[in-house]
Amino acid sequence: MRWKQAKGRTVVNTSTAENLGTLSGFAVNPDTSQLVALVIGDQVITWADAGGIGKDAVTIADEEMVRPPESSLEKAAAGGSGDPVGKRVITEDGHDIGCVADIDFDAQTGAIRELVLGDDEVLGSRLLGIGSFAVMVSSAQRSMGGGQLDALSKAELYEMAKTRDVDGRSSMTKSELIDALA
Amino acid sequence: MKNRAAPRSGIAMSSDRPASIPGVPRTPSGGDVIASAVLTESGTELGTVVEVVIETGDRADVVGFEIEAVEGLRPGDDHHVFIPLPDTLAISGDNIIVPDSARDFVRDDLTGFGGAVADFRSQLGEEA
Repeated sequence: MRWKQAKGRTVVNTSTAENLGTLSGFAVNPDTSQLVALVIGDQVITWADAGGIGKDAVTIADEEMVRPPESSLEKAAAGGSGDPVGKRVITEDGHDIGCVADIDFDAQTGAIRELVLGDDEVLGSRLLGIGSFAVMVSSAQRSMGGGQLDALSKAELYEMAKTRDVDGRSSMTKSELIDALA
Repeated sequence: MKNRAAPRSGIAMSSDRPASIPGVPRTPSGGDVIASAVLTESGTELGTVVEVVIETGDRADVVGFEIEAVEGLRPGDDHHVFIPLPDTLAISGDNIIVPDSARDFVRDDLTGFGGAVADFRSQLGEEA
């Protein structure tokens, strides 16, 4: 599921069938690359209490699950500064690799699969932090420590192909770049 | 009152305002359920209520809704289907909440709908 697709979903109390409000964002734990809470107005709901995002609505069993933010992550999310969408993506070694256009996550577990950067993407597991102005991700070198080239964005793969002088790199797709660099 | 009884089923439908039928659910605000959204407990919309299905007998028991189903709920072009209801359910002016398993007992017509209601309620009883 995409972050932008999920935002705006109605939050429904299944005990009373009443609409409680609209999903306006998420709190992200960058250490685990997980969505840990849902934001509804200036309140939050722990991810586990919601049990994920439903196909058409977010459902919770008890209105008391909607509570004020407590952790710094939840406060940042409820205040709007924790929203990664629209922020620059900077690697830990200082490279600006794009802007977060959207986030792809598992609707049940909240695991962030990818940061979508326009027509490019990086694996969610590279997430290190979300600041007021930028999202920090691990460096290309560290990210491919396990030999996982698919952890890198296409732009990073292209830079690597340039360093190795791979022929035809400018017309290659991301998977072709991975094959050429493997 | 518009009444369409299904043969041998003891099941009937009413498109009148539910207030006119004892036992037919009303929202807490006093409105009726027609045009309310039917939502599963896990947050999937199944459709909107078109008519109320009641079981006739000594007293009226609301056993289901005819709904205008969302696309993809059932194959084919006819999007009006029948969904059984549990003994008790949450209703507001916004939504009607049904267990996720209700979609497994959706029927295209009233034939055998009484059996689907019984099976659905029996399954819920076993889960409880």
